[in-house]
Amino acid sequence: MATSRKVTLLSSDGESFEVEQSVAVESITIKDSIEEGSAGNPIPVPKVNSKILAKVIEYCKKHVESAKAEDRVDDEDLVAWDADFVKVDQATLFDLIRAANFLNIKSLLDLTCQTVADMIKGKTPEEKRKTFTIRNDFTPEEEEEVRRENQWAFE
Amino acid sequence: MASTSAWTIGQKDHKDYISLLPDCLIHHIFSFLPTRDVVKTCVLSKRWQAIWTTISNLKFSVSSYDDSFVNRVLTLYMWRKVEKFHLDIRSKYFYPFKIDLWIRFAIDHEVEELLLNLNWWAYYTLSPLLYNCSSLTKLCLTGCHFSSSQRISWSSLKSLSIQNMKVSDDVLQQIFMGSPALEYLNLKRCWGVERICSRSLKELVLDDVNVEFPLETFSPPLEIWTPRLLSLRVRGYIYEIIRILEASSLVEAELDFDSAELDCSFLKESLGKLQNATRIQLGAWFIWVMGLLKVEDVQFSLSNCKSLTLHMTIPQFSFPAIANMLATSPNLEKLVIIFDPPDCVSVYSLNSNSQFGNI
Repeated sequence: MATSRKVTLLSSDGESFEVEQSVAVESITIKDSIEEGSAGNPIPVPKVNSKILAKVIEYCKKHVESAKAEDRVDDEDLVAWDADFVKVDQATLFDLIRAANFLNIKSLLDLTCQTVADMIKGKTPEEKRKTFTIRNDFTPEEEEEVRRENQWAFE
Repeated sequence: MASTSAWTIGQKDHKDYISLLPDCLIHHIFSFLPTRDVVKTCVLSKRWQAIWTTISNLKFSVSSYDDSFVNRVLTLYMWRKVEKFHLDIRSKYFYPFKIDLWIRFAIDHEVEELLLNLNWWAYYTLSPLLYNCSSLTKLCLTGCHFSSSQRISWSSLKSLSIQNMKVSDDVLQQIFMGSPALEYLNLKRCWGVERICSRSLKELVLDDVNVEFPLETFSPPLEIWTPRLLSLRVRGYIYEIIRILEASSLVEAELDFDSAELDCSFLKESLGKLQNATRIQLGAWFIWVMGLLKVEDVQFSLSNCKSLTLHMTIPQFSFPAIANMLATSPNLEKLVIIFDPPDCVSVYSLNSNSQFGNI
């Protein structure tokens, strides 16, 4: 496989991104479609718009480059880079989760889900609702019953 | 259902994105949380009332005698299988039979990833059920006790991490014989380790091995026989020497440990075994001992080494070693020198007459 082979990805809103094949195949979905020969050129990426696709490509590029790096000093830098990468608004974060899932990029899916998990951890239900703007659609009686049923979890 | 409050226009965070995710992605987020936090999501809204009931990963942290939470979740668990089962026992006192029961639950549910974290002084001996488990692919044990001469069968195990435990040679050989698919082994603060012998092992990490409880003034060398090993990392403090018998597939090696040994022949022998490695990292102690060697003593060649990372503490001890290393690596493309200043403050000056002659 030539290292400088490039592929073109087409976002759902019609924007083209030319990337190295080694970066594109971080997505197992894209890798499989290239190997099966069903990819076409450019490779369409439905469900992922240009803004999110650009971020995903940025992530994959960084991780492919770091894998080539020859010394372990880069590991800490990569962790810091990842932490900065996910400092985005919730809309973008959840779009990244969906994109990582659709494109089957395990490390990105784990990173984004871990970020959301960290936002959930240790918060009271009221705090969780506030963080994620979850509307409480229980009636007071319904909520009381749910709490009673699951009292053992709150002790 | 998602709702927007009146002032959300332009405010990207004020929409309920999380509830719009499909269950499988919410479960993936849950897999990073302790189960206690997961169950508590049931009161958030109707969407969340029952999502937790279909999780397939269980992570428990038990800090008191009260284990009713764990038992309740296990009773309500609805799948035939559990992917990850993590048990972190924080309390000093607990009943071993309860842990045995929980392990039994995990094994009965064909657990793939099991993590058991205990305090060594609790003297919990691993349930015999655990030794024969064909579903395990990843096992992490901390602070437990192996019973010796138990036949082990972990036919699917790929990754094993053991920390703060005694791993005597008979147990370790049982592990290797019973884990034909083992690819990753991490031993941290373990003792009693004598031989690492595995045909399948690809990655080995040894961290502070055989440091605790030095029972003899002379300990046998730690022998490594791993024909398929690609990556070796040895860190921390080692009492006795490490002898690499077979590691011809090695691609990267990190030898960043301290030792009481000053045996240069062992050092030359170790470096000789790294001949096929392309990435090598050597710690400060290694460099210091290397500096005691004379150039003519260094008779091997690391011709495959493309990347070398060297730690040094005191320059005038390190430069002869660095010169030796450069002499043995004719195809080097990248050299990284990391300066770890010593803890004590000392004044030293470079003596330019002797150090740079060979570079």
